[in-house]
Amino acid sequence: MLPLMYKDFYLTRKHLLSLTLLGLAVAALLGRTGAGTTVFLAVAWVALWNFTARVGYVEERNRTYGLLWTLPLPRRVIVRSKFASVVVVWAGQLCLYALAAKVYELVGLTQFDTLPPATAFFGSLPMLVLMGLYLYLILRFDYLRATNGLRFVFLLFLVPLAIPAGYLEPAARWLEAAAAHPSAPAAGSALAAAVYLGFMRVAEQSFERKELRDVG
Amino acid sequence: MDRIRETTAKRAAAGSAEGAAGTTGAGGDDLAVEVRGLTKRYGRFTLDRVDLTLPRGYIMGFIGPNGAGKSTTIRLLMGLARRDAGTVRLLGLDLDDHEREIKNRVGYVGEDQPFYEDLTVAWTARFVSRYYRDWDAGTYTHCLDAFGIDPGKKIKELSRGTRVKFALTLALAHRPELLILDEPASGLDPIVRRELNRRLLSVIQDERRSVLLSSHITEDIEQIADFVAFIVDGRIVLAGQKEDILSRFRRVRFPLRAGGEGLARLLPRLLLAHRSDGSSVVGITEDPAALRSAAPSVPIEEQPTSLDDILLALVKGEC
Repeated sequence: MLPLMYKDFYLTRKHLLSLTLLGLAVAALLGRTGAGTTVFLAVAWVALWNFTARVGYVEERNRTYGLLWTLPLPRRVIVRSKFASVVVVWAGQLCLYALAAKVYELVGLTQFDTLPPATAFFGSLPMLVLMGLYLYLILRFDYLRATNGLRFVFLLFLVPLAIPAGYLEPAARWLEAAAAHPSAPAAGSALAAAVYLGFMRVAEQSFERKELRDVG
Repeated sequence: MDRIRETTAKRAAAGSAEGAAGTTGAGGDDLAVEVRGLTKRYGRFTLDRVDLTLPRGYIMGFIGPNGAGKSTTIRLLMGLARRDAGTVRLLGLDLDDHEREIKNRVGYVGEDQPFYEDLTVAWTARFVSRYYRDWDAGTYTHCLDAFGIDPGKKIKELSRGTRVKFALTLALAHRPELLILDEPASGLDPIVRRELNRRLLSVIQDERRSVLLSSHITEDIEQIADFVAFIVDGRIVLAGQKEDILSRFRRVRFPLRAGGEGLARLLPRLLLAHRSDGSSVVGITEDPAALRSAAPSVPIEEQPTSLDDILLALVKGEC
């Protein structure tokens, strides 16, 4: 699995590096405004999305499933390598974020405005789950349909804005109480991991059935 | 021709290989390819109960027009598509149960050569080599040198011919017992194709290696194959040893005068394909003896035929 992951990182290295450097630069520039690390986190999410899209798209553009499927390795390994690569990028970006936050704290820049790394971690979990969904859609259908599907999911997040606040209040109160519960971090992490792995499992199943379709 | 002579001698010694290509033949471990009832439906196209057998150590040419089902068959053999029915055994192993082991021992070059365009030749080879148990760096380097491929070049900088050679290099570098080539020379100009065939011939001389080579260019097959199978509209219409087929099918010519008119009425039954210019008939027959006995008084000229003639007769009924 490692050569496959290494290949994905190698193929996307320029974009990943430039987005990460951009995030760090923006974080440094906005340091005095108190929003530097938060902006970095946003750029990290964009980088994660970009990476996920590219590891799916690069195989389609080069038609390289036709190469990978001829290698003596189970198809599920190809799927797992992609899901593992996304986790590595996600974790790597969080580590960078934690490092940037620490640097901010050490140099005395707006440490009171900086999101604690733990909050950043839990805030990033839904993004990881969404990338799991995105990868599943790419492997099940194709890059274009997957991207449209994900855009639709993002649009769904706007639905609450159209609902009068009163209707959402009970749900918001419940969420608040759940987040305050001592077991919330562990339960939230476990739930995110389970959903992510669930997407990986269904992606494996549909990838197993995929085939090169040219007739002749 | 040396290859053919060697093969003929080997076949004579082996004896049991006689008639192995096609719908019947030896079973089990003596066979490099054993396909039974292979079926696949894609919309209106159906690959219909294809049977193929190839004994180890031989080369089979898989011939058919574009869209006949050659690539579909080969994709099913390589597990690149899922079959609707039938069994596939390669090198004595069932594809469903031993796909990984089979892929370790089979070299494949497809019609397209899908590689990561932005990576170099050397990078790609390193990546692919990680997955093969028997990767032989010496063979890889030797083929690279023989084909004149620059390992530092990016894939997107390679010409179509060089891409095919590189794909062949990768396929050979893990020392496969069976080589499956799906129209590797398709789209190449005649000069590059001839050179590729020459290279191909030299690298597949290894008598222990079996080769399944699909092509719609019958000249390629005629040069190197021991066995041939013709596929038309998803069905195997003819299969067997190439020499047997070439000696069985004959090009015939006879005049329409001197009793030829009577013979002309029997043409659809006796000739696979025919045409007439008013004074004589030219055709392809599988059974010249039957033709002679149908009209013993008619002077019939008989000439050898080519795989191309046979394919044309089978597909279009033309000659």
